[in-house]
Amino acid sequence: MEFKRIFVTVGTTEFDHLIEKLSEKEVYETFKCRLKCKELIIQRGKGKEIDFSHFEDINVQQFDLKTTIENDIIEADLVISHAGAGTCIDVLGKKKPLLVVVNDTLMNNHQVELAEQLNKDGYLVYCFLSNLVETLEKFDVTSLKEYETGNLNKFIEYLDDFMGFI
Amino acid sequence: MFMLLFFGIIGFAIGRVITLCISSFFHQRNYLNEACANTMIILGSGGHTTEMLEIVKKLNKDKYVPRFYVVSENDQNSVDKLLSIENDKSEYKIYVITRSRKVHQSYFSSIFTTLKSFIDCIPLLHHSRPNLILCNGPGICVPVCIVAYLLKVFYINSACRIVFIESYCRVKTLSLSGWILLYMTDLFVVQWPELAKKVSRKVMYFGRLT
Repeated sequence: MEFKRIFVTVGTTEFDHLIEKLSEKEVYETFKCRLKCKELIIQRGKGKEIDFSHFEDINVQQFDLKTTIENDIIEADLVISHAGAGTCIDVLGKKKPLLVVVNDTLMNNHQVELAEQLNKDGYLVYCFLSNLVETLEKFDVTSLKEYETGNLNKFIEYLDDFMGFI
Repeated sequence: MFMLLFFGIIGFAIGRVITLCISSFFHQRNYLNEACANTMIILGSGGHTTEMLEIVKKLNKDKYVPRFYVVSENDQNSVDKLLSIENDKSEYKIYVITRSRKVHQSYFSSIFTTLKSFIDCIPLLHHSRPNLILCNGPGICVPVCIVAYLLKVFYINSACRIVFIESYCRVKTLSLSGWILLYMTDLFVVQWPELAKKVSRKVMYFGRLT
């Protein structure tokens, strides 16, 4: 499987350790040889701009924030993101392969639990900064299931009944 | 004489709290039998608002009407988002209340702002007299629900149903607002099986809503 266009997003916060990690030579090799990446789009939030000039064969674009990243998600072949619930829902809803990188420097980060659970259900892959390269090396999109939308209708039906509307 | 009255009221309130708590386990249907329900929807910051509006979009707009939205001051983002799903001005109204504690605010001064947000809730609930309060855990839902619960206890607005939907990102533990309000709610929904098993027999689980 080729991932020509990879989109990295960290939401409205900052996750400079992730962006720095991505700029390492080892990651560049994996992107180029294993994932066949040609374009890398980085949404870095409140973080600082990091130098990617050594990514010779990959076209790198960076920006901080945008009103909507919907199109960036749609156009991507692979999304690498932080563990934010909103981002996970957006990406899975658009049926894109998702790799969540957990920020283990945040204490009591209950969003890790969400990434773990969605991984257990087979919808995404998650890793930490320390095993990012290995995870990218063995990333297998066929092991992922397509995200099914939730049971909101069941709740609404129950609520209608509960309020005496049925 | 006053002592007697005081203990009488306390005794009555305790009795009422116990009855409400027990009956909330049975999820009785509402016997209002009215055509529509005054619905209060509490919006919080970012993720909470998005999740809540997804639920609101699915509600039957002819039954859950009028809709009273509660937002905290300076939360223009939530207002913008709700305006994008509401178009008939006669069907909804927006109320703004003080936040109990802003980020970086000192604990001492937060005592007063918390008090202020409780006081804000009284006219709000008095005017709107909701039959249903929908919330999913932002900080401002705590004062609103506690005041609504007290109004129920004292039969001032006993037709009010408090429905709490725990956020999608709560997989293993309840949020602080969830813990505080668990036994005051009439319906408490969680979105993950582990949480449903762990918390209490009271919670309802329909699977993920998102």
